[in-house]
Amino acid sequence: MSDSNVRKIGSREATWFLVILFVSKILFADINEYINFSGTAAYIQTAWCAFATLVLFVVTSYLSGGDDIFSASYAALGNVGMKSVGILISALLLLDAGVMFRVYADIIASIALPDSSDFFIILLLILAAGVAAFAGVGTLASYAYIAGIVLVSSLALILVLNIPNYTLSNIYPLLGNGGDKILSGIGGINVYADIFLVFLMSVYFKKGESVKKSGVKAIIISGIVITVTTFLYILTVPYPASSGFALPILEIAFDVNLDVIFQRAEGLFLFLWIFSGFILIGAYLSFSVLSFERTFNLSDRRAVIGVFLLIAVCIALCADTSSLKSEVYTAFYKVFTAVAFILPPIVFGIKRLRR
Amino acid sequence: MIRNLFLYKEPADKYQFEITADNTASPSPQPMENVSNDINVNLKYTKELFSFPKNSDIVIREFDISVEGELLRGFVICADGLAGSALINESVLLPLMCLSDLERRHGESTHDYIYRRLIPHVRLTRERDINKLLKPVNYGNCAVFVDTLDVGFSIDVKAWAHRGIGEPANETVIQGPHEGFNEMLRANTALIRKTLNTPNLVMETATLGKTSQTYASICYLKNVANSSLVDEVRYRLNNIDVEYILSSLNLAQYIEESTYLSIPQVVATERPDRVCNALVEGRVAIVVSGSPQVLIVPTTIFDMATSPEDTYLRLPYSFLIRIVRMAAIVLSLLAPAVFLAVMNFHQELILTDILFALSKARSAVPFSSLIELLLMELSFELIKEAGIRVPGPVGSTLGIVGGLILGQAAVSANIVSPIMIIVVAVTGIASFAIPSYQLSFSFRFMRFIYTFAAAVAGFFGIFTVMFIDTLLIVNTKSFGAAYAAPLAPRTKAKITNLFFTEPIWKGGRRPDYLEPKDKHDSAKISRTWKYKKR
Repeated sequence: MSDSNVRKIGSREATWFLVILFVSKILFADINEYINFSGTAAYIQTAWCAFATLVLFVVTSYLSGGDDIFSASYAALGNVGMKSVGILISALLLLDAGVMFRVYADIIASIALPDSSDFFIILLLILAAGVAAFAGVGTLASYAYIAGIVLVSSLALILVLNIPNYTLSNIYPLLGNGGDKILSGIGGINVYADIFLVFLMSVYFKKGESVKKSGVKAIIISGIVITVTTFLYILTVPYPASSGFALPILEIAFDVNLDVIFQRAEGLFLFLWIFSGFILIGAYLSFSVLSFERTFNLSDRRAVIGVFLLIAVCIALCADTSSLKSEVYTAFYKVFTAVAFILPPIVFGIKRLRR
Repeated sequence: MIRNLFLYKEPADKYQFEITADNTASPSPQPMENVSNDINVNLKYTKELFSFPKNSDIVIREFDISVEGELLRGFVICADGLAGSALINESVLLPLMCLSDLERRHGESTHDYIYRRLIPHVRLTRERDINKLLKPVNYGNCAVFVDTLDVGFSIDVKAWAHRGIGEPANETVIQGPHEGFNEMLRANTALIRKTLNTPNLVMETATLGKTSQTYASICYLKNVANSSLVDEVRYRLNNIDVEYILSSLNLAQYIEESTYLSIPQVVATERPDRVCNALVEGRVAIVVSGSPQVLIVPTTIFDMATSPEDTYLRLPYSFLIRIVRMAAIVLSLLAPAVFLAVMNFHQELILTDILFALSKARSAVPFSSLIELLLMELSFELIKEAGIRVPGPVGSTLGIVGGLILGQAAVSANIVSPIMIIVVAVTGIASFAIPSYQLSFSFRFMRFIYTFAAAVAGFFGIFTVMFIDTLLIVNTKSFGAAYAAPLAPRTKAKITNLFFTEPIWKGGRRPDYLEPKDKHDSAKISRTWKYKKR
């Protein structure tokens, strides 16, 4: 990939891009997973997970020495190793994009378009994700700067409008299911699994902009957003009822009583859900294509976008809502998180040792 | 007559004309490069080139001049209506025919003598290339040939009738200059030069169109504009392989990056003050002969959404106007789509009382809300389009008839609901509040896309189109500058004044995405009087 073909991004854009990827996870049931584990102290667990991710990231970025994962894997493992790493990352991201197509389509169908078919919704998602993939990671990251601020502001607005529903007594007991539970809840770092994408996009950074700085800022901002949101969700919905909702933010939006033209704030949630969905799927697809492009040194990444989209749609159509809840789905995310957090330090570590 | 009724008669052949393929070669004279010593050769070539005397507006006047007692034949050619007869008489024919027998300096050649002493005109050029002499005849020059000379003279004697400098028709302001560009290249460049009043202003000449050779000026401040940007403008203008470019708006379509995108990527303005502001920021302007619109490149979407008047108004007023304008942009783009989405897909979002009121208002209408909306939008577009075509006083009458009477009648006849009239009217009014005519056109087009998306998938459809639309905007570039800069990609430039205004004295920095040579256009503290000790 020649330097003139890529749209360079700055640290701020990369930061907000990652923030969207992280924060969009709490629109799903991830808050519930924290609450299931730590009870009313889930917000402490989210902060702990953010801290743990930060430490892991700092160590990994120290090992990387500013290299991206492709050049590092080439230096560490040779051509075959680099190709294996590239194919693994590309396949994982493509699989993720396919699963996300399905998840977003199912939820949009249930909350906004109950009379429409999933396929029709997937079709619109394909259109948006396809345009995002064609635009490329650089443009998507630039776009994320505006979208990130708008989306976080929308989330903040929902939380602010919900102030009348906050009940302080909901936070007791302060340590929830116990301090040991909080400490052992480090598995919650799966929310931040997308942090490894920053090691794929260093080629997009402007000269002098730091991958490490972007990652650290993104983890801190999203850690604060996720912790505050979890805390306010706990204040709104008492435990254990709070662990039962599939879409916790939608639940908060339902509780908002606007009474001015609009009754409630689900419209804001819909905006959050759809936009973050487009960016998330677009990002997975773009990074999958990027990995493939870097692995096989393609001259034009756009040639493979159509095929990648087709594969993602096939994955989406194969998976149905019930299978998404299945063990296979959970296992996939465990594998994804493991690869995201273990692969980069291994690759960068071997490279440093061989140097 | 009776006979004609009963007996067949072959009908008379009526004359009918059909265009058939024309395989005849276009008449053109034998190519000639340089001016000949023989006046007859030059005269013959000129007559053939200009199809004289078939071409009735071409004037060729032959004359004799006497140089040191020797009579030399000569002729002058000009286009009637473009060149001024009085100017030719005074500056060319009179001195050549009556004053030519002055004493020559020792060793002075005849063409030097004519150039230096006989033709008292400021814009006079000597040329060997006969085509370079004859081409400007179509642009108000006259060409003079004299026997025995292997050079000719081209004299700028433009005097065609043109529109004066009036108020810009499409960019009126209440406060600020009321001058607007007209169709005269030099009048337009003069408006810019007298406003900027700096020798750093460069106006390079370019010719557009292989045949039309339309004159254009590339204007920039040499101490501010990025050299690579100027080179890029020059490169694009010099690499358009087309016979004719007749307008700056045609040119804009040849030089913009993405044709199929709805957003305009080149600003076309009729206001000299807007061009001057752009040049001061480090942009490049292109003035095209025959067009009252001057192009400004590069541009961003935020430039399109601002009015020159913003800087003339005091801070509180311009702040208020910006807010109103932003609301107008959102309304003009999304109002009908949101209405459709709420009515058809998300009734639970709005208050029950409002929902009942809307449903009641629509209960007697036989169409679906999409058809109803499209009918109203179409009517509105028709009124708008017809209003442009008909003469002024009739146009306003048409607006009143269309807007009030037809609308009222449509509601009474239960063809549309009153709420739909309100939605379409608010959208229409909002679209007029957008300062850029091109951007308002873009929003007009995109409004229909949003409406269809809302009709198909409610808010999901709207957000899908919004995502794609904004992503395409972020992905677009205008002459190397990102179209959504300085927001996406985020640059170091301030972004507060994109949406709101800031005090005029707080400016100081030129847009960094233009990479100007000089980053500042004022001192950090521009109001030195406030802090200086007397």
